[in-house]
Amino acid sequence: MTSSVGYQPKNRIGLVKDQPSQQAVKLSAGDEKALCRHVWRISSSNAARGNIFRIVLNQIRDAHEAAAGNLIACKWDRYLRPFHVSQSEPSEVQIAIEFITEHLRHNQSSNDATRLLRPLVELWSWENADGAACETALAGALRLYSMGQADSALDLLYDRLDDMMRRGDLVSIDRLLLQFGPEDLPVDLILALLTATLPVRDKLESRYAFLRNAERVLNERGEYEDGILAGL
Amino acid sequence: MDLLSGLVRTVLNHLHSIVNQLFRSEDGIFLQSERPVSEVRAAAIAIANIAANQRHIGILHRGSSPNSPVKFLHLAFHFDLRNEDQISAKYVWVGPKVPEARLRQVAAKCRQIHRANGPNLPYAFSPPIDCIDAQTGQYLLGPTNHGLTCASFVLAVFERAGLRLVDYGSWQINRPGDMEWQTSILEVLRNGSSQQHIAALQAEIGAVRFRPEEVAGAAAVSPLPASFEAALEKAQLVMTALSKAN
Repeated sequence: MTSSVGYQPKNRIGLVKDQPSQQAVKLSAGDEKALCRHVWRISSSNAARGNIFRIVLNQIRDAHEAAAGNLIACKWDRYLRPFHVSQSEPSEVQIAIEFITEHLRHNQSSNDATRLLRPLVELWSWENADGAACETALAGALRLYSMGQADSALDLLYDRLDDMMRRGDLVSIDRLLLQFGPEDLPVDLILALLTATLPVRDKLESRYAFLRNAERVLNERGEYEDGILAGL
Repeated sequence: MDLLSGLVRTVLNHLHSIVNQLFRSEDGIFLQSERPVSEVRAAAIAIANIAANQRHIGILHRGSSPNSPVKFLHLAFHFDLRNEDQISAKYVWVGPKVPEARLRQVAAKCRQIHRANGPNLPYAFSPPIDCIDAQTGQYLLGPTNHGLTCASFVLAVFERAGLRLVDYGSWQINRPGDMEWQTSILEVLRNGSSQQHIAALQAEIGAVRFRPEEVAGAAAVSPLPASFEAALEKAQLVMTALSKAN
C-alpha cells in the first residue's frame, strides 16, 4: 500500500499560516474599509509603484502609529528575518504585506487576504530585482500557494523566473535550485521551476540534480505518475 | 421484410455509434453533449469545423480551483489571438493523456502567452519550435519566424510547456492540398497585411503543414510525441466526432 503524505508546508522560507500572532492589531470596521480601499489603489495600473506603498504605509501609520510601529519592529526579528534571505532591511512593500497579512489573519478574513495580497506579492517580487529576487519570488509563490491561490503562485513564479532569464541572471536561478530542494515545494511549483527553466536547462548546473531529486521526492510522497517529468 | 431490414439497420447504426463513442472516450475525444468542457482537466485541445474542409483549433484551459472558468485560447487569424470565455457547442475536445499537474503548467503558459502577446500574434506558416520567447512568452519574430497557424500555435504552446505533441521529423511535407491551402490563406491576408509579411508568407508556401485534426489527434496519442501515422489514425476519430457535433 502506498502512503501519500503529499506536500507539507514548512516555515523555512516564510510560510506563515500556522504561526500564532501575539501582536496583531485590531482595526475598526471603518479602518478596515479604508485599508482595503488603499490596497485596491495599489493594483491600479496607473499607480506609481514606488509612491503608492508610501501612501498606504503612511496612512496606516497615521491611523495606527504606535501599534503599527510595534508590530513592524516585533515582526522583523521574529518573523521577517527568516523570510528575507538577504538579511537586509525589509522593504516597504514587504512590511505592507506582513502588516496586512497579520491584520487579516487576526480578523479571520482569509478570502480578503488572498484578494489583497496578490498585487502586493507581485509588486514585491518586482521590487526585489536583485540576487535575492528568485528566493523572494519563490517565497511569494509558496505563500500564495498556501493560501489556495495555486494559479497566482504559478503565474508569479513564471513571470519572475522569466524576468531573471531575460536579464541573464542564471546564477541566481541556479543558486535557487541548489538551495531549495523539491522536498520544500508542492508538485505544481516543482514542475513550474522545471518548465520555466527548460529553455536554459543546459546552462544550469544544479538543474539536473533538482530533476533527479524531484523524481525521488514525488515517489516518496506518492505523487509520481508516469510522464509527470517527461520532457523536462 | 423492408421493415425488418430497416430495424436491423437502425440497431446496427446505434451499436456502431455506441462502439464509436466508447473508442473515442477511451482516446479522450469528446463531444460537448457527452462531456461538457467544464470537465476539462486544466488544459485540453478544442477543434471544430468552421467551413467546408476547414477546421479551427485552440486550447481550453482553466485555473486550479473547481469553480475556475474554462477559457479558450486560440489564434483566430492574423493578429487575432483570443482568450474567450465561451466556446461554441460545435467544438469537440481532446484531453491529452498526461498527468494533470503537467496540464496545469500548460494552463499557466496559456495565461502567460496571452498576457505577453494580447491579440498581437501574426498568422503565417513558420515552424512552431523556438518561436515563443522563453523569457517573455512573446512570439519571436525573426528570419524564420513570421507567424503561426491555429494548429501550429497549439503545438508551440505545448512545446513551451515541455510537452511535445508531435514528432516533427516524422511529418510529411508537400501533401496534396497543402500548397493550395497556404496560397488561399495568402490571398486572404493580402488585404490588410504589410508587404513585408506577404513576402515572408510567399517564401513559406510549401512549408510543412500541421492540420488541425492531426494536432487534435496527436493530443489523443500516448505516449507523446505522436508520430505522423499515429496522429493520422486518431485524426480519423476526431473527424468522426466532428461530423456528429455539427
